[in-house]
Amino acid sequence: MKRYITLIICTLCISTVSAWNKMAQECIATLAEQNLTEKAKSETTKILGGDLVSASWWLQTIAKEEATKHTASWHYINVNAELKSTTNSEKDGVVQIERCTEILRNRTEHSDSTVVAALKTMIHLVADMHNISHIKIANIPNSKRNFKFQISNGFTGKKAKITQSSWRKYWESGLISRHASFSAELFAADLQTCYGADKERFSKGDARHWAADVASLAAPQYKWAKPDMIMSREQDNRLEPMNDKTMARAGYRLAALLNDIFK
Amino acid sequence: MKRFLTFVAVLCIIAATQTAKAWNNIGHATIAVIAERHMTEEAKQKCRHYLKHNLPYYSAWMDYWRNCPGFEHTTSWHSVPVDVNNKQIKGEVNNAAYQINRICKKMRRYHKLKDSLVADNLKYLIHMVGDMHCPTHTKYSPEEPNLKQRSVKMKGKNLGFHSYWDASIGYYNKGMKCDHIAAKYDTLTEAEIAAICEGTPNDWALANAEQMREIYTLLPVHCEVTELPAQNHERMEQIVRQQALRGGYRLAKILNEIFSK
Repeated sequence: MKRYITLIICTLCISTVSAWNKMAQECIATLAEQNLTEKAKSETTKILGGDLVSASWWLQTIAKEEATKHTASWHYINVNAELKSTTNSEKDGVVQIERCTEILRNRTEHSDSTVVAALKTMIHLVADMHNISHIKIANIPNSKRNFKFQISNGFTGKKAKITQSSWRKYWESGLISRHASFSAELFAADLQTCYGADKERFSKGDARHWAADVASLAAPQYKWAKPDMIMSREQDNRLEPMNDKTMARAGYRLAALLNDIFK
Repeated sequence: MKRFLTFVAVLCIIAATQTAKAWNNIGHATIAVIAERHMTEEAKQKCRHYLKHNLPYYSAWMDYWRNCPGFEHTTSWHSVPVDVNNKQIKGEVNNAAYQINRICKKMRRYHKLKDSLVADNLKYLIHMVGDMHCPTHTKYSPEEPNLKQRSVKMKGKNLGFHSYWDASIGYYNKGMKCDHIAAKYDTLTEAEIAAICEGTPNDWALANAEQMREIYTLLPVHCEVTELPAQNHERMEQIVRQQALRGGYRLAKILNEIFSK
């Protein structure tokens, strides 16, 4: 019976947490794909043997394997108290994006499998570094841990319901689950409608600039976000545009980086 | 073996309850996608200008805000109460049909309204036109006890009658995304669509009230949904598709009219 209970818990975890992360990754990859130049599209297709979307979840799948367990820290980025990315640690997401960029720029000097892994890693990490809960800010301890909190459904009396959540689960899967019924194409089209005019502005700079930009969005959240807080429905609603905004930036920036590498 | 089968059954129930959370959203999003497929380019552009998003994004907006301070009064705007003869809409201002009419009237001069007000009015319309076509969103008179909402069972688990119908678009299109369901449903001819779009929101509400009585026969009190005869499910699926299409086509008609001026 104990075995069955463990299996049920695993099923719950798989279907509620990982899947929506995948949705966000696919959506960002779709938006990026739609903004690639012909040249970049043809080169990435040749390397991957398919599209960006199919490759977007690969890094997540290897994070739990013994040989590639060290990649788990790559999904997060570290910034200093001034919100600047200055680290050279190989554990950091930005440093890994830079490493992958170098491999892809000098791809003729590397084996095919190294180039494929670099591209798949980059697709995933450019998305992940835009997740608000993936930015670790030096002087903000709460940004470095996955604290628990509660979300109210807004009702009072009999209909009142409190849902347990965690900071990462909320940003990785909670907000995007509102649009769980959208295909990646539909969601990407919506991001394009909403943020298409900002594409050029978003695409400027490099991974270090983008880290500072996302950190400037993340830092103010910790003025109110605390362990064990109760988030109101209204507050929950007001955070949704932040999630969309960071997804759009990730999609346009991934496209810009690939367009530059494969120009 | 018995223990294993029980385990599999528990897994199925877990899967069913987990996806059930999103089906209400899937229904609204499907209707919004159908509407977009039938909107004029001008109406689509204007909606995007004010909303800064496509229609499906805001299709469940009213549900997310209804419990927030300042929005409590909108709770009654999701459905249409009717009298015992289905001849009259009740609730004065507290029903979807009245609110749709009120907003349509205001939106005739949309270019004179603040952009944020136009956007809010659009969010209300997108949701309410969909919601008034949901099979259980006609509220029948208490004098008709047979049309009272009841509990049904899904694989032995109690499920609200209302919840079942709210979730029905997803139930009959398992594993499909809203845009794919919309493409599958949206196969009517121009003449059929024109016929559906005739009339006013009040006419649509009263026609729904007349026709949706059938769902109380199709899904009897305390029935086990998985054991219903196949013809009941066939008919229920037809109703779900018909109501989604009506919601989508009529929403497109309303928005096309507003933005044709």
